[in-house]
Amino acid sequence: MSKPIVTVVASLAAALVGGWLMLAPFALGYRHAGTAWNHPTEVDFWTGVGVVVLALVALAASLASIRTELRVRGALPQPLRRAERQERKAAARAAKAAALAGQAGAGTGQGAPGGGPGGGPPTSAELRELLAPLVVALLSDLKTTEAETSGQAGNHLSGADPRPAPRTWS
Amino acid sequence: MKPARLVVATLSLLTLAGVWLFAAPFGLGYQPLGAPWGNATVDDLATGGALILIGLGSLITYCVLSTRDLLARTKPDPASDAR
Repeated sequence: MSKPIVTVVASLAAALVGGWLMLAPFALGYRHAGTAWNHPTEVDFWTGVGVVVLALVALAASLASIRTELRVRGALPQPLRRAERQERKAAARAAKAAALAGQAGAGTGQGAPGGGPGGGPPTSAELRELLAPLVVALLSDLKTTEAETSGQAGNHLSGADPRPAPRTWS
Repeated sequence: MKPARLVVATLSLLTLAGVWLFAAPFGLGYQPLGAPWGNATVDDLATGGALILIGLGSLITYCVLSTRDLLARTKPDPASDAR
């Protein structure tokens, strides 16, 4: 694993050196502005371009090498072939369709085949049993809130509450 | 081409670019022999030297690490030696 890291560092350093080579004729003043490029300027600039290109190629190859190594070690998922990808998509579609069919069966009161506490999707009776305490708690909370708001309104107006009595939930 | 081979090839080319930068002032004649060195010559020699150092250094390190990996893979199993 340390080999690609060495090459990544080296290619980055080489890219910096190449960039400096391209800038040096202008930065160090051995090419005057407005004049034609002299020999050292041409050599430095075009060598710098070549060095930057080579460094970028080396960097890309090093990163590809790191990715391959990570895949071999299992840190990255293996690339899927087209056939495998299509198979996976088809399986996901089938699973989704089965889930939708199960929900529809539960909505009509028909439990899905094989459903129940042993595994599979729960039946509507089980769902009703599970959700009943939640519904009761929500209703009592709603009642309390309504009673509080009506009490506050009565205090504020200091008169009879013109609104109808709160609904009773039975 | 495998990435590892491409890396070795590009690092070798970078080393050669450093050698070229070292030789260019004298080979192309913009630094006459015996005359004091100009800005361009000093810059080319310094940059060329840096490139040679980077290229050769990384190539040598790469070779050392590859040899170490190879030795670790071909290391004989001590359990089979004991039998």
